[in-house]
Amino acid sequence: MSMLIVVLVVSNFFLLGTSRLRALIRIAAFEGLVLGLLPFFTQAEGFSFHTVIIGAGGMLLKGVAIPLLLNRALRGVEAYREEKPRVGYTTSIAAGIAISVLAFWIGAAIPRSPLFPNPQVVSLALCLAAVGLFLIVARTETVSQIVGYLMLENGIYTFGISLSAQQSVLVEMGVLLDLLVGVFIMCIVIYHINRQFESINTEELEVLKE
Amino acid sequence: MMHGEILIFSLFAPVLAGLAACCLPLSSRAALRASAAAAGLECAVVAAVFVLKGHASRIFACANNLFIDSLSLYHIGLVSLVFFMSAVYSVGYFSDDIDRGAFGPRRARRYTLLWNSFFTILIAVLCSNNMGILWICLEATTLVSALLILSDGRPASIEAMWKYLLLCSVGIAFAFVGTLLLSVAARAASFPPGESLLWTSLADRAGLLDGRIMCAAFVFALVGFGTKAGLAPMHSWLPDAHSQAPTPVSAVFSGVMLNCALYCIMRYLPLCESAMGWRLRAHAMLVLLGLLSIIVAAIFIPSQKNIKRLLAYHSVEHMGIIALGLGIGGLGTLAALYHTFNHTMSKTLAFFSAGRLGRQYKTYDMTRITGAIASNSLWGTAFFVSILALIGVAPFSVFMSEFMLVKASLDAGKFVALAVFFFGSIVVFVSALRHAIDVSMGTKCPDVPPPRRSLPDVALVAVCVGALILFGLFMPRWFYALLGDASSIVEGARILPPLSGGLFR
Repeated sequence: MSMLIVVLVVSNFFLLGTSRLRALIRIAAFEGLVLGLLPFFTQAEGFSFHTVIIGAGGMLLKGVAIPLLLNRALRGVEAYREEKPRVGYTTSIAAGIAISVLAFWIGAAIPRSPLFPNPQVVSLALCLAAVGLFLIVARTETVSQIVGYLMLENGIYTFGISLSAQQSVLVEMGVLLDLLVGVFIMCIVIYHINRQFESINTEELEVLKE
Repeated sequence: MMHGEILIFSLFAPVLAGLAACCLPLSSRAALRASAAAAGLECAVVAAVFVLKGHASRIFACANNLFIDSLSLYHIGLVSLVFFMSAVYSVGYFSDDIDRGAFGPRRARRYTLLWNSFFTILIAVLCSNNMGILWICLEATTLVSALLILSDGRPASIEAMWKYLLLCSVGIAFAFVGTLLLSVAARAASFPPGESLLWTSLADRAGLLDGRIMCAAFVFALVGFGTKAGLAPMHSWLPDAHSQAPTPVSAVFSGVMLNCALYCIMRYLPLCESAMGWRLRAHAMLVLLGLLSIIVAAIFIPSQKNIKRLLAYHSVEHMGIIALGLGIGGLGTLAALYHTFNHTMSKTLAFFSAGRLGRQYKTYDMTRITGAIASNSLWGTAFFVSILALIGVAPFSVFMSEFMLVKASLDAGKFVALAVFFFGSIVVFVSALRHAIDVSMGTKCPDVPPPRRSLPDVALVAVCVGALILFGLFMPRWFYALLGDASSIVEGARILPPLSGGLFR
């Protein structure tokens, strides 16, 4: 389990350091796949129907379906890299280091209790969610912001895994379905933004500023 | 419990029928009329369920995952009413587009399909007893309604939709953390696994839940659902989305979608307060956000140029007033629920008239809309009246609920909150009145086409104005009882202060 956590934290830095949009999607897909393995190591019952559903469902959706959707949205769009990020890449990586240190410091402060059996997983969840929020704020391309939203969602999914309390399978499935539909609709918006503004950069969206 | 299942499923029947009708190859007008008919039927069903439910406090279905009580039934009634009125309105609203060929059968089918899905999911939000399903449905409303904003594909509406989608999705993600924490608290209090997210089970034994975890859960729920409810400082999507959506959609957004998000907060409130021993911390957070919303509205309303953005900031203000009422508690909760109805009716009327005036003048810029009463007596007057109602002029019912709120805050000794409320309300009163006078009075613009008037339009205005005056002067006994039941649910097991207060006797 510690290996998985290390891999995820390291891939966060790649996510923060890259300017190429396709690389961003690929790293997000990789993180989705790795995250899908996490429930098998954290849940007390190991391979149960429930863990298979949340693990495999998460992998299929975040590792395969959503990256495919995002790649498809980029087809026909003249955008390969983040042109004008609000925060530079070196600063982003520095922020990533700060986020990780803070997250694991908070995780270390959580006492191991029956409610929180895996404090490191809580740290990972905080780390993923904070990196997601950072990406949404620091990047201006719509695709980068969607990846940020995905990371935030990954963080919450991880937080759910870290808890001893299980959701019912119905609720888990519903949440994943909402995520899929959400990203699908965001891809539709990318298409419309590209058609209207001839760019998918959110800096172009300033009609409604006041 | 077959009886209960029939009642709850019957609430879904008309909306699902409406959804099915949209899939038929209907003409544009027929599709819009079918949606209106479905919503009308839904209103009748809600009334029937209200009567048949009688004194039963809760009715369950689907292994307790669905339920209705007075609080949810009250909100379902509001949702159905606003959807019905907006669907009737949209027949007239899109009529020009249909004649020009800009709203063909394909577009109409897509629009009504989204419209009825939105309606169905909102009913599901209000019926769900499982807090996980509640969250899923509320997030689904964001996704469906985002596409409704986009229905004309102008650059501004794309921008509004993007902001709405991203901000509300991120916001609601926080509410999911609240849901997760709720299940942790339930598990810690050794609730059975099947019941750890059922609101009724949690509410019955909320005293057993861990106070610290529930406090954290409430903070996340408040930020998450508060984003969707448009409470400041998470309101920035709201003016854009409300101003760019087609008017019937704006009316539904403002009239009921925001209320549904606040409804979710109302479900969390008694759970968290019971767990924390009624030290009113959650209430204090609501008061804070409520006051902040009122102040933000008071800052932005004076400088508004766009008529629909003006109404959107009014929504921020009124959501703030409702949150303030909930935060004060006791009579304040009753006032908040009463205000929910009043705001819904007045805001629906205001959006309807702003939409029609905008169509007639071909702009939503208030500096270019003058003499509205002279050029369109029905909708011009309706706009003026609705703004008077919104800013709390007597004898409209908004005045009565705000008066109740003042009384509640005096009783509770919340003088600072009251002072901020008065300051905000006065600023909004003066500036909105100025906007309303500029738009409505004055001489008729020469190049404005004459209005098209139809019987449904007159009926819509009459119903809204009638309700605002009637419920301001006289509150029917059944409505008062419904409000009392609903507010006692939000108040949890706490002993209520006497609600009568001699206000309506």
